Amino acid sequence: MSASSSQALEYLVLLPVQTHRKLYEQPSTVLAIFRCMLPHLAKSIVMAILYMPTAFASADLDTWFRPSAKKEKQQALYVLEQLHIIVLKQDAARQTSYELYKGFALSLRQALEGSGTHRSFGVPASKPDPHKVNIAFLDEYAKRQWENILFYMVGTTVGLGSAVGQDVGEGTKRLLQAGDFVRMQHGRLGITRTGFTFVLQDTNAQVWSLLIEYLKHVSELGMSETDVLSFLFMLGSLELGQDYSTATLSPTQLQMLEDLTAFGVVYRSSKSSSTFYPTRLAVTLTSDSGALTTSSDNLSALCRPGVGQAPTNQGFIIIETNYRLYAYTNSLLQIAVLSLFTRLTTRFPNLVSGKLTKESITRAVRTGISSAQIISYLTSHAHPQMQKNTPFLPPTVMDQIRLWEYEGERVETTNGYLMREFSSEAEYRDLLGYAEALGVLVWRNDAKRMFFIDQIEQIQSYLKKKAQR
Amino acid sequence: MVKAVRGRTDPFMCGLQLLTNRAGTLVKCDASIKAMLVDIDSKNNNEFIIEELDEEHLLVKETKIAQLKARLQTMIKERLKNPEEDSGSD
Repeated sequence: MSASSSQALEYLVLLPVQTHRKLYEQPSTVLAIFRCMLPHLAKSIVMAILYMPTAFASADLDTWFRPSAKKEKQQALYVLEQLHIIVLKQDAARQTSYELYKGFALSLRQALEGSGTHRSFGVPASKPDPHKVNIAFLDEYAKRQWENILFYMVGTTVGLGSAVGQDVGEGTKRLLQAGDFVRMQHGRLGITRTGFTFVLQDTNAQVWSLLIEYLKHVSELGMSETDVLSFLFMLGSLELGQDYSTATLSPTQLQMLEDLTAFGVVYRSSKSSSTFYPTRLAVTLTSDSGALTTSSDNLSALCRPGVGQAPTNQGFIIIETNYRLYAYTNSLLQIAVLSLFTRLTTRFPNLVSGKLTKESITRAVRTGISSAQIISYLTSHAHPQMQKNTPFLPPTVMDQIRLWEYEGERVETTNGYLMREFSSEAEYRDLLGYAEALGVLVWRNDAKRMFFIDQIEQIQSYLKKKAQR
Repeated sequence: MVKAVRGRTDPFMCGLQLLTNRAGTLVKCDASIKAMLVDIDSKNNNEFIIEELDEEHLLVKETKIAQLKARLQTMIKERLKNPEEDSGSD
């Protein structure tokens, strides 16, 4: 499970059970969820149960795990239960057993066996396209569209002129504002904390963030959420460079094609065209990082917006121990990103130079960017010469960035719930152990018998189950 | 009996025992900062802090945390006037 798809997973678990059931009617959706949303252990459990004729007794499942792996097992099962993939049943003799949700099992089998007539994996165009486009063109197109969006967000903030954002559609602009990636402040557009995080993510995660925002608003546009999700998952299973027919798409999905074209996720030669091409942004939606290595050269160029002319030369930033920064780039987008946390002073045709100062870093921290984000951006874009050092960045610089941030942020906060007033030590130990296993425990105080958790839903359902016993 | 407490409290049954949990924001900071937070709280009718948990932890009302942080910033600025202006000139 990659970092980017975990956002999608977070969104998915919040959907109601009806939506899950409808989603699971599409084999492509089921396969995509199975392939890239589920943790490895959950996958193994699903695979093991998939072809079992009867329900699987939970006592038997327990025997598969070492006692020490109880935490992992609980986490995997919890994800499966949240997604309504697995159903816990209790028979008359109070024996519990697990079963896959029927629709999910059926669709997954169809996807694996290639059986059924569902056509959910897209229908390739029957006639060859006279204006067929190649993969390089699609990459170029996707990159241009996506960079325009990013540049629109960053460029307006740092005041790179009014020409910014002309190529970005009105719909996309509204979406970015609705998602609070950018906000109107004092009559001009500024990037927000969310937007900052967004820009520094890798491209795949960015695409998901934007699409999830899109999903939140589809119902207002009269589109069906399930349709939109199925379509996204289908896109993930398509082949790059192949044109697909629009004939099998629902009205919602046709409407969606237009928006996705604006994002650069799909390409259409014209609005009335009867075919569409998925771009690399689309086909990597639901694949693990392993699937990307085949085209790593193109992809890394895509991940690092702006270095189109030299895809092999990914790093471009040099930082000296005196906080001076040199960036070999002429991309406005990269310059804009850098200027969010650097005091840039000089610009040459292929180089900008500046300095990391306390003022520039604290300004960035105030806008919501964290020192960790700055450091990870600088590290991942370090010049090949810098990459000969370990670590890539001078340690003094990294420490100083953290210290500057710490000066502004003196407290660490976590929202959540304080649990207390346990009747007995055993009660306390039991729930504490469960919370720890789930990974929701933030703070504990054994003497006062209380602890703090950042999520309560699982604990509540655990207590309910316990109370029923 | 459950103590009467400020803030949102959801008691729920767990076996025979009544267990309380309270929504809030856990604030982790060093002792000096904590002292300032407590100071701010006491000057404002205790409207921020629900409870002091230990040396380095406080439970604060979720809705008030942003305001509390802002007040802390101002207080730090006032108390720690440092003449050090950044050196952009080396």
